[in-house]
Amino acid sequence: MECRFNRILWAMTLLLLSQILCGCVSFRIEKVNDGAEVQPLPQEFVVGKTTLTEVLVSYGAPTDIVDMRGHFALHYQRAFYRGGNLSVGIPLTDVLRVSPTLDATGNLQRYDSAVFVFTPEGVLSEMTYEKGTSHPLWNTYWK
Amino acid sequence: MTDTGNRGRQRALDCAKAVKGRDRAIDLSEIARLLWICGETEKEAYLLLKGPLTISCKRHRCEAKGKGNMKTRWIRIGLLIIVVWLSGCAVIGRGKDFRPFDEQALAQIKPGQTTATEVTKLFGAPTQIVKLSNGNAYVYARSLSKATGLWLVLLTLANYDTQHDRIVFFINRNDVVTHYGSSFRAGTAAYGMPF
Repeated sequence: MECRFNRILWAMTLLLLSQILCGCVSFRIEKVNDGAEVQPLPQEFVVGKTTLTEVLVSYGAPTDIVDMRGHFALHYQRAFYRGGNLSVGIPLTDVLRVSPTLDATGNLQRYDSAVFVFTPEGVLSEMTYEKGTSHPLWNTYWK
Repeated sequence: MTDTGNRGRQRALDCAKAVKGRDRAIDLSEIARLLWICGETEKEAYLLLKGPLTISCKRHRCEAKGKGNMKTRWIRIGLLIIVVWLSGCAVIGRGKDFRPFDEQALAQIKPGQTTATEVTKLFGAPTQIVKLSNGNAYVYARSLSKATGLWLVLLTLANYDTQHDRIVFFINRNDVVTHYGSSFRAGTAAYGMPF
């Protein structure tokens, strides 16, 4: 009979412990992607020669169009977010009115962008490309 | 020995006799096994006796343990913990920022001929008008977002993917379309996990 009692006690303790832990420790991982992948600049694109039509055919409709007082720019962008949260706490509010909690949170938003600046006549005058998602997630946190 | 203790011993002895048989003598070496059978259900006793049986006695208290029973016990505890920890819920969401435009109507657009009025007739009011130094740009946009969430007790996983359909018309000062560009990627929005 004592053995059976011990077993029930063990099971109850484990159940209670896991329930307490469930309320105290939590780990969250998030990923948010907005937009399609932005291709690197093709070698055929040449400043002073490439036209607005060629860029539109290659890249499609831009994310943004910006007027630059004469010139204008097409902006292609993809936003990529990663977030993580680790929370450890002991809910004692009802007993002690204080609840010790430790939260560790980190999030990183990266962008892939291509910008094409055109003259009012629609000829490419400047272009730039940045692939933010190529930066490693973990190391980039600490830079 | 107290009265309660004596009553307990007597009850245990009666049970052991009942198991062994009223008229048969009980050997001291088998008392622990008999008491164990008294204390357990038939199934558990069977499982216990199937495996190697160890009987250990300290003073007046004997204890019997079987390996097979221990294994079963740990499997049960493990299953219980897994069920408690993994209980959660999954959510799938879908959000659409919908502005109706006909992708097929793009075939009717002829740069240098189509006017701004014809564009608005075909595609409706633009989502955004950008004023440029040599005209305007009409932007038509819609998006599709797909969200996946998995809430386990200790672990929460969330994934959001948003993709867009966009059409842009460049219109000169004479209200004629000079260029246009389009990308239709809303259909590529996908559910998934954040790995």
